[in-house]
Amino acid sequence: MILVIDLCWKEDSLSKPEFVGPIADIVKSSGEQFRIVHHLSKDLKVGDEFNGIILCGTALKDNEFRKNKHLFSIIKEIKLPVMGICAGMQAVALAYGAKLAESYETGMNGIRIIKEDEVLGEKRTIQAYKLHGMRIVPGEEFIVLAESDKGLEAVRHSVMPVWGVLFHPEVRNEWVVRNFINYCSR
Amino acid sequence: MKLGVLFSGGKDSAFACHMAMQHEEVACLISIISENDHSYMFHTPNVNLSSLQAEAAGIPQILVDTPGEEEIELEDLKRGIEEAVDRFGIGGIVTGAVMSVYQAARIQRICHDLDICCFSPLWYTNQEDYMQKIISSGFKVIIAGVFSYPFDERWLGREINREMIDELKILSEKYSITLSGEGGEYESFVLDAPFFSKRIVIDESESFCRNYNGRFIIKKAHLEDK
Repeated sequence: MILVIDLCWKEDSLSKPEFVGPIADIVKSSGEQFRIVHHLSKDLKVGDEFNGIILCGTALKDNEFRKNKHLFSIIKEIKLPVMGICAGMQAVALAYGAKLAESYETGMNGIRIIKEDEVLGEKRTIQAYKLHGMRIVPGEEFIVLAESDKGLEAVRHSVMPVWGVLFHPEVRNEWVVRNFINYCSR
Repeated sequence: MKLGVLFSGGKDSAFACHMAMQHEEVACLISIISENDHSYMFHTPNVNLSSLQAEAAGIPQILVDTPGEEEIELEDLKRGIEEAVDRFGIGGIVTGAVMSVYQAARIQRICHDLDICCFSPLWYTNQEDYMQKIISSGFKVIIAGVFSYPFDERWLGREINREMIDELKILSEKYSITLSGEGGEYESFVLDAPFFSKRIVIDESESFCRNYNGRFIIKKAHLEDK
């Protein structure tokens, strides 16, 4: 079962169907079970029933999740595979002490996958949907998997099975989420 | 949060409005009246009747005229949103974008420039679930325009019901069209919605269609108590 964490500013927000719903749909269509939990919920516990965690994105102006230290400690302490999408990538970066920098981008743009990996596949250029106001600054904890002219687009932790993608795979790149789920099922 | 809904009168913007009302306060509708029937950004059939829908819903409306030239129409949209910020104090915009990256990215950019939020609650929603919800939530929606094969004159003015969804499912598998018409295959018009206090009754209409390109034009309509 995949734990899908909603990073929107409040529970059951108007952003949830936009940023959490499409990810949950991909998990469901992969035949995997899932549970959606809000990042501020008291139910945010990582039990034995889970085999992976996906941290979803949120609206461009919504940065509330960055205040949630409890979330960061969960991300850092668990041993399960984690994938952070956009805001989720920021949460992963903050959990491991990396820094963020302002970097606004929206729309479809090319990204270069520069390192072959289980989740992003072989080296190539793909078109991806961007909607973000920040990006992470490279640190030693992370290996860069993909980049663009604007900077880092995807990373993997150097030791842990933890990924971060800045683009939104739910738009035309659902395979990224499916590859992550396959990794979790191993 | 007070929100403005980009409202064309079709099912997507009306359903997005319905969802927004369940979470936040919808302070106004913003409707773009484009002179260009082939606008990439804005739904056009019967958009002039969106005022009757706004009246049925009891929500104030901002109308913005645009010649509908590509990219320039975005300045007109921005003007409308700015007016909504000034007049109603909105902190965000709601769009009915379902899969159009072209529409969504451009509206996101405008909201970013104006430092307000942007919500697209139907974004990449499950198409079949969404179509079923339109019916089960109490919407009454008709097909107001067809723009691609295999949609011909028989579709114009038809109500979206369960039989139609079954038919659309067969067509979507055969011709790679989207169930919700997101690829521009068809456009719709909302006659009734759960947030309308009155329903729209069509008094006079005409339809024309040629080469799988047609419109159902409502020439006269009135509001009736529900």
